[in-house]
Amino acid sequence: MITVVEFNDFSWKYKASKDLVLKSINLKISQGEFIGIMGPTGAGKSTLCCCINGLIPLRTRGWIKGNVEVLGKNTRTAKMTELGQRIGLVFQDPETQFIMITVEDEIALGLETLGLDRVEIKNRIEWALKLVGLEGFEQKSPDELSGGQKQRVAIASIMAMRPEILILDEPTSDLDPIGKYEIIELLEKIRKEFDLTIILVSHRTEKIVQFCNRVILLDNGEIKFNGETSEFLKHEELLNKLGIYIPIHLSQNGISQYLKFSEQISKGKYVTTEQDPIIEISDLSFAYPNNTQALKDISLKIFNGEFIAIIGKNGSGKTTLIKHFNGLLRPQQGEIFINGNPVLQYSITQMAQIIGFCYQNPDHQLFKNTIREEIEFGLKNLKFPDDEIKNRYNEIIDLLDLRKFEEIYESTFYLSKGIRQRLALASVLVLKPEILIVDEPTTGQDYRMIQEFMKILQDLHEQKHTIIIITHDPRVIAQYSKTVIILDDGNLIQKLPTSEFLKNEELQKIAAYTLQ
Amino acid sequence: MTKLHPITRISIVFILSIIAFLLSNIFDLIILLIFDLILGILTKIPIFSRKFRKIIIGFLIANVSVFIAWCLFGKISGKIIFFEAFIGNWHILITDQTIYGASIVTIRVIIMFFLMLFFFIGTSDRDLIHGLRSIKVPFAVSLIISITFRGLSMFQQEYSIVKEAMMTRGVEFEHASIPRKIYNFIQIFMVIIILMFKKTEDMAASIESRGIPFRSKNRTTYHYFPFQKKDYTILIGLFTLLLFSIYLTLINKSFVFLFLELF
Amino acid sequence: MSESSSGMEEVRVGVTWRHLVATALATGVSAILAIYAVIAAPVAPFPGVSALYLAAAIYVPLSLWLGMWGCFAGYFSCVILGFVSGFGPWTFFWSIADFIEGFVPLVAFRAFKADVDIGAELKRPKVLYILLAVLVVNLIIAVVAGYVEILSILWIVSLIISIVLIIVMYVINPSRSWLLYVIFGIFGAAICSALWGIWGLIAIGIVPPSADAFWVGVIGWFAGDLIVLSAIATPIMVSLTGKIKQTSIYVEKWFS
Repeated sequence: MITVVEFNDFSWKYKASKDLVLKSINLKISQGEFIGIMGPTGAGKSTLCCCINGLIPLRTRGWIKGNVEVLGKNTRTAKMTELGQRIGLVFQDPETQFIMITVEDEIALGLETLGLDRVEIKNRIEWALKLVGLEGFEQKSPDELSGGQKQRVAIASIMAMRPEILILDEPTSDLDPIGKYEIIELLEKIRKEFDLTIILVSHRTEKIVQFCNRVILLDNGEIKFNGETSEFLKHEELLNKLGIYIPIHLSQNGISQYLKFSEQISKGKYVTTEQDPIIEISDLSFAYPNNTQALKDISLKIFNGEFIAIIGKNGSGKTTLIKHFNGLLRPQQGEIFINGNPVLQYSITQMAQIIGFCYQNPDHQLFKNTIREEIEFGLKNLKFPDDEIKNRYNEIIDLLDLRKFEEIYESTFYLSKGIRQRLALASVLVLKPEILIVDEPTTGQDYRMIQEFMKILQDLHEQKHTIIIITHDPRVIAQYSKTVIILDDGNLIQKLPTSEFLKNEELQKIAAYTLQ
Repeated sequence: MTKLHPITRISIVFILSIIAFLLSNIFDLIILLIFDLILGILTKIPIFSRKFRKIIIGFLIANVSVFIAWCLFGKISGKIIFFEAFIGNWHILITDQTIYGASIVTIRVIIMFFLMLFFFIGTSDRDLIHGLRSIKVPFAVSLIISITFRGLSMFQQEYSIVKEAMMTRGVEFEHASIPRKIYNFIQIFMVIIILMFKKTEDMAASIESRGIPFRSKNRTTYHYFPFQKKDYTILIGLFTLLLFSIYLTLINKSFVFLFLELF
Repeated sequence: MSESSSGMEEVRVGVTWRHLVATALATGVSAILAIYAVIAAPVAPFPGVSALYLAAAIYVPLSLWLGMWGCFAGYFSCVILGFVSGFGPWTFFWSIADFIEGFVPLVAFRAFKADVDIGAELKRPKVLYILLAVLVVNLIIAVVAGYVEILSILWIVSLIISIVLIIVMYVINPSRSWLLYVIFGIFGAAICSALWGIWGLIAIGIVPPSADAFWVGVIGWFAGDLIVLSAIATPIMVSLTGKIKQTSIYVEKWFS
């Protein structure tokens, strides 16, 4: 077997990092292998990928030791252009990978660099779009594409260049279930049709196990496991220690327990009083200025103390709906009541103390330099007295276990995504809202982080907060939510207990929900 | 115009703008303005639609400032004095010639604004970039222009999201005092700058990962934008008009009076 | 690459796509802010001039972080503003004003080999900000008084007060970086760009060629940029410079 990638005692430290990000990595990858790379957040998976395609060290400042040889070239001395044309790398965020204005131009971008003539470029564009199932999409702009479609275009633009190695760095984490499914199907197809070396970074153990013939497990910059997939799951203790999710149906006891989770939740300590709708919506309709009808005649009641998952395909209206709850959007038709009062009666400051909103990307809602300043930001805005600010700050920072990060990191800029997400939650919770809305709490997080974050929400729910989450994560829906609200194309399909939803395949299909 | 080569469209804008500056007779400028508007109508650009009416009216109102600037500071002597005053060292003199000079400049600016508006509406981002590449503008420049266009819409969205996020934390924008508004905007700017750097890293990584160099002798161009007969006709016509305008400027005559003399 | 004692070699990179992409995105952000600023707070009767030119708060810090790339972002964003304002192709000439605005502080910091991190070990920031605000007001008074001329004593007094304030600031916060930033990053940048900007408007015939027009325009432009650079760009510089310096995009010289 020809070795295509070889790490020789390789270590790397970014300019800004205090410690080594990769430590004495020794690794060989042979041609035609399908390698899965797993590990907790911050383990060094993305860094490893960038070392293979030459971004490190050719385009990144830092400190290096050892060598990486890829396709016979030492990455310290090779040319980025050559490596880039032979090794394809698909990133996590489908939005920022799209450079050009149309799909066709995006794919042609790399092909022009190869010096191909127009006829060949045209043929390859058609071929690549056919491969990813996007024939006829040549003239579409990125605004017209879903996340899954953008990601497929990214794969098409790389496959058109006929790479010898294909690396995919968490290609599905920002996608809805349909998008995830599309990418996984495509990978399956590529794997069967082409003799490529594929490297897949993912938190989804079931996919790694399904596709890969070898798994590399990273933690803290070191390889903890490097072996056949069949051996991988046997190391349950190691996997549990690193917070790697073992799919229920693949675990040693082999019993699917999702229904049991759901039934346990329904018998839990949560109190809901059906007589107190905390949010009431009546005949709500809303269209955006470009005439997209986002919501159509929605009537809904949300009761005090519920734990709800709002689910549906991309573009079904989930985010539009929740923005009406706190008055960020105004309905064109219909009414919304919060605690029995019309939502428009509340001022911005009043609303902030009733409804707390956590955005999907924590970077959108972290404004201050330090953890303390961030948590106190809302309280100072609302002119709370200093004593109250201090008390609430101490309460929240301990509740969300952020105190140790305050001591280690002088600025929020250096926090990992998972900790920033927790900080965003803290900054909202400190205002003690009755209702907490969280948009996609699990995107890009590893299994342990998801569990920790959801446990916090669960604890809050036990303290009688009403929790509403928008999520595509089937495990989170099954394990934590008590009720689901299903939206499709701006219509409310149904609100029902999660346990019933898990038994209804038709509704699951509408909501693009699957445990697979 | 929409079927013209983007370089022809750029040339129309630039050359007519230069001509507008060469012309110093108000009647010539009015004719050029009419020609400009006819051009817009011929290109079937919906200048009378609600969206563009708002932009045009807004611009015309703002353009009044050009007229006012010339009236207040022009100090051109004339036959009729409409207004004169001294404020400190500032001598305000509004005469018939001041009004005439102010009108000329105002009409020039209006002509250039409409040319730019028609150009931007009638030319897609994509056409512009492909047009530039067809005349061998460096690839890096055209890619930067493409990313700038992407960035314009991306950051408008990001600004809205960040502002909303601040509102959910109780930040008032509408009813806040001016110092408070400035403080709030500073917070938004900081977030936008950080987001900009993060997007820079991601986009740059995406470009580098495809092995795209700044310059390459082997790079081909997929989109082919041939010049057509009408492009050549228009370009020749424009250059002829430009040369004629330069000639008229040198001999200090205007189109209209020359036309009247001849006929 | 250079070596450290632990056997690791330092990796440095030259100009990469990162710098060009940053220029492009910064141009987009600055252009939007420039257009908004001119619409929201125009200096009538000078088109394209704003009493609160928000874009400067982006590209002046960017010039210090990204070197010439930040200056280019300032230039191109102003080109876009010029097109929107109806200046036609003359905008390429006029927009040099915003290039200068980023270039002046950049040259100063490079010439004096000073660290751009003005927030590092900043002493008594609240006092400094108050002094800065007084200095800004004082300088605006100085420029207005100088133009009006009949109050020339006021002009001289304002200038002396300004110098005293700068000295006091240096005593409170003995930082070369802070001093350079105040002199070149705020005042130098604002006055140089104002001089070119208004002269440019006169040269392209938008504004009449009179001394009154020139000085009134310069005062409006100068004051607008002073306020933005002192009130908005300064806290941005203080908060973010340390972090930007840790990234691969930070430019130590002119282009990389």
